[in-house]
Amino acid sequence: MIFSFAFREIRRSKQKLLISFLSLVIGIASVFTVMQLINQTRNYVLENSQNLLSGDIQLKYSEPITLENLPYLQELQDTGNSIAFFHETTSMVRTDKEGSKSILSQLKVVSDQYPLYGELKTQSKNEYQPMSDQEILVDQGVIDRLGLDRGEALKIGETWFTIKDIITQEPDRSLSPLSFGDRVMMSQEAFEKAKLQKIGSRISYRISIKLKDIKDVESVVQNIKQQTEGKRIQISDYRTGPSNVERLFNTLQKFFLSITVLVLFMVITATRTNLTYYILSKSHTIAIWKCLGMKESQAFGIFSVILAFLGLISGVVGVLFGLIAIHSTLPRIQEYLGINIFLSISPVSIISMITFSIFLAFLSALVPLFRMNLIKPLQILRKQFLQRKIQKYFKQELALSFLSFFGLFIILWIFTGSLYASTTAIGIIFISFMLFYFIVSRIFWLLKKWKNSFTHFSIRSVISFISKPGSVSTIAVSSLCFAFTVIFVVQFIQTNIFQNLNLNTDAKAPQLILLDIQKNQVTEIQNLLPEAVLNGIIRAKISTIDHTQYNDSNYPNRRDTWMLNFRNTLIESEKIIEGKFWDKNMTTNQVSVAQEQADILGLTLGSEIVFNVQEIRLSFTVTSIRTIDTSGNNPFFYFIVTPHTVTEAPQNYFSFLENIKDVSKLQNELAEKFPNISTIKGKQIVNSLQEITNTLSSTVLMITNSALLVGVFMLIGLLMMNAFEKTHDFNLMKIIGATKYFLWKLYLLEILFYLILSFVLAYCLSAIIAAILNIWIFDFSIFYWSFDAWYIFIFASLIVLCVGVNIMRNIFSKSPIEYLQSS
Amino acid sequence: MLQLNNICKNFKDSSRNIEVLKDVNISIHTAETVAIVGPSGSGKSTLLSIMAGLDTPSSGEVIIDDEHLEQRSEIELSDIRNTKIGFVFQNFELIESYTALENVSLPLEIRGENATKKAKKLLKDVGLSDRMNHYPNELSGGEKQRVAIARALIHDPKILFADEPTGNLDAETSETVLNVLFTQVKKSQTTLVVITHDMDIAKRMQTAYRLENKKLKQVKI
Repeated sequence: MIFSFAFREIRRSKQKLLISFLSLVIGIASVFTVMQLINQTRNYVLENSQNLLSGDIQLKYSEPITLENLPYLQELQDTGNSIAFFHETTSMVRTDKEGSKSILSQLKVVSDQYPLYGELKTQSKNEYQPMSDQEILVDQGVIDRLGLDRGEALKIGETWFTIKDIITQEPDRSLSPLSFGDRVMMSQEAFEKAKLQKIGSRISYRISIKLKDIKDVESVVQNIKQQTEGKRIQISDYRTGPSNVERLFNTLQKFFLSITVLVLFMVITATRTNLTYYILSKSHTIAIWKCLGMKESQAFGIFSVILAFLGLISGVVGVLFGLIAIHSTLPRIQEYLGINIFLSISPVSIISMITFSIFLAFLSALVPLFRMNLIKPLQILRKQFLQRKIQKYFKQELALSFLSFFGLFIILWIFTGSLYASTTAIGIIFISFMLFYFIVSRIFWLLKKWKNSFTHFSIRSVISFISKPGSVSTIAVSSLCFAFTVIFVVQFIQTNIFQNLNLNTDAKAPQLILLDIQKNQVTEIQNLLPEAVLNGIIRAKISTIDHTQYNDSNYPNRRDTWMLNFRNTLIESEKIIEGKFWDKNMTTNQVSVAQEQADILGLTLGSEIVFNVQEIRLSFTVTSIRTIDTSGNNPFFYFIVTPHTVTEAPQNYFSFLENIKDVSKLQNELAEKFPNISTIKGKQIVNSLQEITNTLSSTVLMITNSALLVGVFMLIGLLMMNAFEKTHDFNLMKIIGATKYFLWKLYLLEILFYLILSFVLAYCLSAIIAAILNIWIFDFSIFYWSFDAWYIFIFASLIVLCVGVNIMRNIFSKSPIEYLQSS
Repeated sequence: MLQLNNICKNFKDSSRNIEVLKDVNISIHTAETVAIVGPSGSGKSTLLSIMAGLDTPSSGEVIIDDEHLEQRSEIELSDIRNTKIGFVFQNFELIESYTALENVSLPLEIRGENATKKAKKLLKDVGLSDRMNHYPNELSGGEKQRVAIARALIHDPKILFADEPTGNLDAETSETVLNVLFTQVKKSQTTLVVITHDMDIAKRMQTAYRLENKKLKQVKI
């Protein structure tokens, strides 16, 4: 009996249940997608931790280390443990085919033992064999860009090499997203033949160790730490390395969970609003059932079946949408992280998600259902309920929202298994939502207070409605405003990254950047490019500040190596705010410090700072503090030192080039004459940064947009609930002389009021939040307004207006007198 | 004031043609009080809708204050209702989100006039000067109906339609409300048409009609 009643109700109430269905589908699809993507990626990283480290232990350092420097490593190798050396740098690679083309590449120099874990796969499918000193392996990108094939020649540095094979899988490819160029792999001997290693070359050195007995990892790490103390070598092992990655994923998970919780909160509110409306509309039917002898438990059972069915169908459809989203997003993540994830979604996770959907449907509807059960049938049939009790429903909405938060907290805890993560996510959402609720309710309170000062009746009428005691308008506007804010903040950040880093305009980026110019090449470069400004740099570490040992872990921007610039003139983007550049009365070495770093490091005029330049200590006195305008393309340096004090220090130069007629031609010419100099096209950097920003923001927007959609559903739910009262009020107004035009105006004004209030509040708040993030996190001095938000507002408004139009059509479908008599 | 000439009203219900009113004729003079009685389903609501310009007759003429309603546009009919007609309903039909004062002001507010002063006076006249800023759910049934009467009269209508005005009130409150209604109508010289089942109310009217078998007949009560 219960099932036949329930399915008959479902068939007749398809339209009323549609919004709840759509809200649940979006919620389930969002949760499923986020959970699966994060878990799949994290599991991949954890399962392949040794592959990613290319060993059980990895040492990372900025200066070359040999086994002679670390006798303990030699000892390890002698006792049967495997050790592989490799290092990475950038280099120009060139072909003489098709008019001598050249491109920048990421060079990886490996020893014969490489890789210790995982498999280096190549296109020929042959098992990887160590390369000779004349052979190299390359990425498909090199082949495509230079029009080459296997067996053909490629010049790196001063030597021609033969392309042995094409790399299809590199087990320890870095997770670093910012790399300019395709992979070229060669042996240590080949690297020496290329003669690329010059003074100041930017090379990242690594040693991977595969232990004979994995249980020794702790003692081996401790021994290495003892031997390398003071050498600033980063040591990771397969347990700590992945835990760093895990930390990254936990942070990501927390961030996405916060947004997902927002979506879920809104899903529950939207579903509850709609199901409350649905159950209210069914109150008459329930009353008749009860009068005819149906027990409360039977009525409850019928609606439980409806809810379970709603949750089941929404869960299935939500999971399907989630699977589509995962399949379309995963390739981008794989490409972004350079990993190859085998997607495996267990039936258990699908079943648990569908169960979760049913749970959500019950969580959203149980309370209105229980309340409905408590109402006596005769009250409903004598119409004593709807007009009076409906307000009590609204009054309890906020209390129910708190209940939803608690329910979500439990759900999150079960899902993540982390009390901290779930508390943080819920805490952020709860505090933010309460802030929005407070602001919106205060605005409504003010409007009510000033209502009579508005001369226009329509405005007063709208204010009367929204500020009516117990109205659900406050919670709906707060939630919509919240959803808008999250989306707008993401868009503001995206706009500001693009604008501040000049990612939108190629014209602002330097055409060509020249790196690793040697001191003996300066004259030749200046002859070739008379307009090029060469910036000399020395790599140095800070030893002491005012006689106190410098420890980078005590400072927010942990930095091991600093670049010291040396010159006698300021550039146009720099301005001295304290002291002199340079103080001619001083005989000691002088340094000019950027204000930002002076604040961080606690440097003032007269402070003494000692730099370590390849183990030679150089002491400087701070004689000036500068501000730097970073909005242009000028290079900026935190430290500028007096040139005469560093003439003997190992140094190299870099330069930005503008106004070049043919960038590729110049790039080829430079690669041919100066093989060690890396040339990077400004556009290449712009494209890479654009890609990263786009990937991150589009992933975030994908989730936040679902929050917006649910917010719109919630507003639609509010309008549908209001339709109860609106039908009455508008029919009455029509009877006493209001034209349809007048009523349309009144209704549209009300809808627009909700939308505009949410939009304006969200736009202002998100601008404030983004401006704060601009300063605190991104360190951008200029704030740019984003107008992309307007499109979202227009889109949301159109959906809501369409629903509003439909509601109005229904309101006008009956004769007013007949409606009032029948209601 | 109000004249119905040969009013017929038919509805189409799937394949059937249902005739609700047939050759209904009535002529009501200025300041006259008229009762229309009739059993349930006799077409009283349809007749009220046609008299008030809320529905159009299938045939016949509706004339209020020398204006023919049957050929008027939607906007013109709204204007006539807003200037010449007032309504009082059995269920009071107040807007829940408006205070008593705002409910009374509504007809004038719709046409863009400030009605606060006049609404306050009318509420005082119906004995609700201390309840002006209360919402309908804070008022008793009798008070709600008095607010509805004040609202029906604020725009000085030529004719007031009252549909079972005491149907939801107890005897004592009904008497109070009817006294208020008659006093106000008399004061403003407004024509009153009451649709009722209550013969006691009908007896208080100058003329009474019964709607039966689709036709309206004058009766002596």
